[in-house]
This record gives sequence, structure tokens and C-alpha cells, in this order.
Amino acid sequence: MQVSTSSDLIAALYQQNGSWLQSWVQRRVQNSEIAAELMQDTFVRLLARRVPAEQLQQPRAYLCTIAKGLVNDHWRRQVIEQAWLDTLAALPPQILPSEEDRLAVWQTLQELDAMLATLPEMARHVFLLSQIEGLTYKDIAQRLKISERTVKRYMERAFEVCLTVMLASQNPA
Amino acid sequence: MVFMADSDSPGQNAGAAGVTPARDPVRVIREAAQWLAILHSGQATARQQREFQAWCDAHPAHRQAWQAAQQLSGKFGSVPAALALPVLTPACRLSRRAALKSIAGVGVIGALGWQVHRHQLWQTWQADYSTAAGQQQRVVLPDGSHIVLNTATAMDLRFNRSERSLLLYRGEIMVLTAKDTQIPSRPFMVHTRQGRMQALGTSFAVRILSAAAAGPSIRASGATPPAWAPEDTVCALHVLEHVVAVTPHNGTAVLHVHPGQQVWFDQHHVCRGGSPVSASPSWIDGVLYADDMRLDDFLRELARYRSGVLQCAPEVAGLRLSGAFQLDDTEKILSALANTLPIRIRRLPYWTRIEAQ
Repeated sequence: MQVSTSSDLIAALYQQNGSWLQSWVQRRVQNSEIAAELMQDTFVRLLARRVPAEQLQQPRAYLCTIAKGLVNDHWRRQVIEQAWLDTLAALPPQILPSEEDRLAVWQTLQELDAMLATLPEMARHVFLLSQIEGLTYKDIAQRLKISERTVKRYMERAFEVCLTVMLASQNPA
Repeated sequence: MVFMADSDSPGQNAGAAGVTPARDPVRVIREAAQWLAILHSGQATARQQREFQAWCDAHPAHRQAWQAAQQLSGKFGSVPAALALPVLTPACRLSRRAALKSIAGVGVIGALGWQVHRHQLWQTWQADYSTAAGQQQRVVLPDGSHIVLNTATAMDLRFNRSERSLLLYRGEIMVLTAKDTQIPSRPFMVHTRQGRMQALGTSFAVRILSAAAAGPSIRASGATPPAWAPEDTVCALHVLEHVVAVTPHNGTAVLHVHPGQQVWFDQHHVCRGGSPVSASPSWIDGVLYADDMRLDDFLRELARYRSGVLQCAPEVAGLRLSGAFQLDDTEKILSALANTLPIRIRRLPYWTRIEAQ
């Protein structure tokens, strides 16, 4: 009979592993506060996963895998934030949106980025050319040197992913 | 969950008469996606529009999917294309000109700069050692060598039986190599995208920077910059003690660089500095020197030590300044400049603009 990890076991793991895990994370995010947060998130995730105790014989590798995912999410957010700042900075100041508008746009961009995160790069690029630049599939195919059939395939995939996210957020599990 | 049999075209048989049975949401989404892909092609016919309408009416789950699609459309519509496209386009597909074509160019001096493509940023942020903007770090390597990382730097180590290597992705390091304790001793190398450098028992500094940023130092040394575009990325080497052997990735001969000498190179050009510079880089002591430097060049250097964007208006870009500035407080440096030069500092969140008074 498999026994899920008790919170006692997690607490013990935290005691033994929290320190080196935080250093591991900190080497990758520099900021000690963020490192502490991500380290704690790692254990929260571990608790939520209800991993059987036997699988935690080698906690280091397992913890690193979870932490790596969290660090990647963090960097994805940083990348898009930097892209956002760079883009704003390239605008002539007269057309810079107001503070409220900027915040609304920024939040939407983050949502869109998270939605598109799982798409392969080509599919994502095709989708953006269609939805943001408004190009026809013929134009996209010409620009990217791929077939229209491939463009359509990418578009189907992208819509599937986005609709899944949109519908999931309306009906939380 | 009740499953309905589907035909080949998106969901034509869904919804029997009477009570509407539930449909598999995954199938509904796939059908909706197929319809949307048809409708957004730019070649959808009136007939396809009608068939899609019929599909929407056939089942409440279809209607729900259509509403979700409209919300999605709304999200895309709510962000200005000029902002959305550069931000969301995957890094390797991003071409600076394409992304900024609808935006008038203004002198941008970003902390990271457009010239570092975002897929490189991925690699750098997962590096073994990295510093944020304004941060410095001292590291001792397994063989006892000392490395000082300057601001916004990222590097990986590759230490094994056959080599002692640093992979420098971005930023600037100062290296003080130690003699290898292993026998036979392993070569000490620094690898960048532009080439590799082998230390022959030395102290040296390596920096990855844009050709625009390298220009002032090249000219100050009395040399002429090669035909680089401002946004090209080059590697700068400054040897302080002993010799470094450089092999640029353009396959030319190995260069030997001696104490005091500087060299800038990439895959296409190599540029040796004119007069030697014997002093260690001042950033090691937390100081930024300016010797009759243009304001825009100075701000470009300063921006490396700050997060957010530092922008210089063209009207004041050519003002000259000299001095020694402490890097621990960059705001203080800007205030000091505002006291001595006819400039004004405009501060917004994450964005500082230097303009005429």
C-alpha cells in the first residue's frame, strides 16, 4: 500500500534540504528574496503532488526538477518583462500610453504569453502574425517560406491551446 | 461524460433531437479550433461562415467555445500591435527592424540592449554564475583561479579531466588564473561566441559588448574600429599579465596578446588597440571613469549597472564629460551630471530619460 508523503516528512525534507536548495536557486535568480520564495514554492508543490514516500529516497534530484520548472517560469516572466520595457523605451514619448493603459496592456500581454508558452516557436509566430498583424495564410506562408497547409495546421494547434486555457479559466476544476 | 460519434467535418452530427447530451470538451475544442483556422485564413467563403454558424447553434458547448474564441479575439484586439508584436514574438524570430518598423527610432540605451537576443537571455539566465544589473560577484574556481564578474554577466563552468573552461555568455569578467594542480595540467580557456581565448598563466579581462559600446575605447586607444554595425556583438580582451592566445571563430591565425594590449574581435574582424593600457579595469574598484567622453557613450556604460532603461535625447548626446564616478549609487551619478551639464532627468517607472533643460 502506498502512503502519500505526510507533512511531517515534507517538514523534515525542508529542514534538511531548504538551505542548499535556496543556494541552488539563488545562483540562478541572484535575488535572495526571490530565491527564498521559489525555494518555498518548491516544497509547497511537493506537498501538493502527494508523492509516495519511497520516491523521495533521492530528494535532491526531485527537488531540483521542481525548482528548475519554477525558475524557468520566473525567467520567462523576466524575459517578457524586459521585452516589454525595451518596447516601451523605443516608443517616442508622445505616444507612450498612460500609466493605467500601460498596466492593462501589460497584464493582457502576460496572459497571452502564458497561453502561448506551450506552443512551439513556429506555431506561436504564425499565430501572432495572423492575430496581431492580421496577415492572411497566403502572406504568412510567403513570409515564412512554408506551405499554406502548414500555416493552417499551426493555426489549429494554436487555437486549440488558447481555447483550452480560456475555457479552463471559466470553469475552474 | 457522454461521447458522441463525430463525422469528418467539424462536428456536424453533434446534438440529437430532444435532450442535449454532453459532449467531450476536448473534441469540441478541436472542432472549434478547426473552424477558427478556416475562418481566419483570409479566404473563408460565405458558405463556410454559414456552416460555422450552424455548428455554433448545434450545441451549447459549441456556443461556449465560440464565446471563448471571441474573448480571445478581444484580448488580442485590446493590445496595440506595436507593443504586442515585439513583446510576444518568440526570440529567435525577432528581427529588430521588423518589430520596430512602426515605431520611430529614438536613441535607446537599455540595460541589456536589443542586440542580446532573447534566446541568448534564456541561456544566460540558466548559467552557473550570473550577476544582475549593478551587482558584482567574486568566485573562486575549483582549481583556485579567481574570477570577478561585473554587472549583468553570465557564465558557465566546464571543469573536467581535460579542460578548465569558462563559457562567457554576456557581460564582463576579470580572470586571475591559478596553476593547475592536476598533472598533466589542463589548459585554461574562456569561450565566447566570437572565439576562444587560452590563458598562458595570466591575468586578463574579457567583455562581450556591442560594437557601438566598443567604439569609444577603440578610438581612445588610437585604433580605428572595423566595419561593424553598431548592434554587432564583439568580444573585448584586455591582458594585464603574461599572454593570452586568441583564436577568433573566423578561422584566422591565433593572436598572441601581451600585457597592456587590448583586442576586439568577432567572427569577421579583429581590431588591435593602439596604445597599451596597463591599469586594471576601474570597475574592479567600483569606479567608472570618463575622459572627455560623449554623454551618450557614458550613459551606455552607466546603463549596464542599472535595471530598467536609460534613454538619451539626441540633442544632448554629444555633450562631453570627464570624471571618476562611484558605481555603488548610479542615481547619484545622474544627479551629479545634472548639476554640471545643461540636462534634465525625467524619471518614470523603469525608465529614465536624459534630455535638454
